[in-house]
Amino acid sequence: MTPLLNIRNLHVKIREGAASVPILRGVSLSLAPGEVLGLVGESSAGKTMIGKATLGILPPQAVITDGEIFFDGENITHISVKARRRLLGTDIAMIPQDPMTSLNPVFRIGPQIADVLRLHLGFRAKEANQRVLELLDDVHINQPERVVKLYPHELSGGMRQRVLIAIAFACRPRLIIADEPTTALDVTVQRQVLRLIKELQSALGTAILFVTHDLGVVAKICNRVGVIHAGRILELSSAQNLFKAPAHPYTQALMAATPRYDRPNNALHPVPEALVKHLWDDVRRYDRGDFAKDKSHA
Amino acid sequence: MLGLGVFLLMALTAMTGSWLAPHDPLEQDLLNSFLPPFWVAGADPAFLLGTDNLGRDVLSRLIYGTRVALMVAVIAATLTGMLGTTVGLLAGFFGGWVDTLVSRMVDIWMAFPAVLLSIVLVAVIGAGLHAVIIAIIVIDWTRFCRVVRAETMVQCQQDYVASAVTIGLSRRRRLFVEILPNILPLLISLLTLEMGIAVVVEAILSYVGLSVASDAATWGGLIQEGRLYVNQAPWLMVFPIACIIVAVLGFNALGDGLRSAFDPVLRR
Repeated sequence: MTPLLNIRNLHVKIREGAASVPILRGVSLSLAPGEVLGLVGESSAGKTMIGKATLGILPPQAVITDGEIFFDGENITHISVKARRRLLGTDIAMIPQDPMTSLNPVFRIGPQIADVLRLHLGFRAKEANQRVLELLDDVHINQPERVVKLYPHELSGGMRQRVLIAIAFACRPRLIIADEPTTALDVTVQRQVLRLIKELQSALGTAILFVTHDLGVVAKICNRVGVIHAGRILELSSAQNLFKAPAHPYTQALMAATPRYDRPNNALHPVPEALVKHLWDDVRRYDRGDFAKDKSHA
Repeated sequence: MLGLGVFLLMALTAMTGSWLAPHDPLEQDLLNSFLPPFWVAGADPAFLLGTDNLGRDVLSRLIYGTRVALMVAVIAATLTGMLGTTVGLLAGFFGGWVDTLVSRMVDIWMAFPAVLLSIVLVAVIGAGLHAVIIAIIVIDWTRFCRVVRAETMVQCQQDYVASAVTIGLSRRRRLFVEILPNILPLLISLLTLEMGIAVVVEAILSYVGLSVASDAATWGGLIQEGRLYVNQAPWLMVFPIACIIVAVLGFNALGDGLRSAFDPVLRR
């Protein structure tokens, strides 16, 4: 079976004046239809950038310098704005990190969801409104008739994230990029939202690229997990394997660093300094190699 | 809502001016020239605010002047706002060379003395109400442009705009349907501010005789005529000046009032 999403040797750099800083150093991964792939890593590891590159919404300073992204066999690394618009919202959707700011503050909830339906599925106003109620019901929002008339600031964070999930799933996309969808929520709401995403995912067979820094979240929802550090995937294996037998020392260190209730008396274990240094030495060696290669081309 | 009161008063005066005014603003009565306003001894109650050197009724002339002032304020400010906002939105949204081009144009505009530019413009186009309005638009679009450009840039950084991209909305839709409504409160305050400025510009241009035909009554024209007789009949200047001050303050208060009425943060 062809993978739904296939990223090959992706390099992204951020330009700062004349200099450029690599943020993705040859990322390769593939995602089968209906699969949930987790990407974990510390802040600035580049996990969000993978999602943004796939969606084609990299910040203007960031450029893809090498590698390809295939969606359903089609190379979408550098497709036109028009072609990308056909893809986004219909085949690929996104659940954003911050539900507080991701809805337009001046419009009511109903029209914001209906917009997607009318734009991509050609719904008429009336059908769209009907469908919006169903969608809100699907994400377990009580009294959808009341909620569609509210403005975003009148909803709680969890409710807003549910609305955004409803928007993401509205056109039954085949791939959803979830960029830390639970980070901005408190722990009890996190659980509900995770369960909701999992429920919709298995009902509709959507593939999800799940970006997070929370190993607990990964354990609950993902089939496979990639561990990222400094723009490289260090380890990519099934979720079971990863938790049972983490192969890479960095993965082991991350597991050890996670506080758990079943070992409450242990002090927190930060990732050992020697390991961090070793990893970065590796990265620097990689960058130098990269640099030398560029030189020889020139 | 003091501002709204002033605005409504002006609008009402302008609309009902022809029967509200006790006299024809052009009717001369040389026997009754330089009559003082009603509270001074020797006033004629038929001429509440006195008469000018040709015996024309000051109150009636002020009322007819209101019509010109309000017309210029509303039309010029709206058109200026439309031009400046469009250009500012495009510059802020697209950035790059569009932004550079617009910003440099704004810089050049701001380096040019506004009053001088307006007088030159009116001289080229030819005096008249339309010339005044065109002059205001050409000069003042930068005021909207600068503010709208900056605010558009801020809005573009917001997550809801990124979300709009990920659901596949077109650029035109993002700009006019998503971003524009979010800068509307700002536009309202700018618009009322611009109305005040338009009143002043119109007064300046009619003071130098470049506005509507010189026999028509305008506030600026009244000041200019009164200036000659300021020692004999100071009220000829005082009343139109007072009108301009009240109008400009009223517009500014209207802007503040509307902003606090619409802005959810200030309302709380």
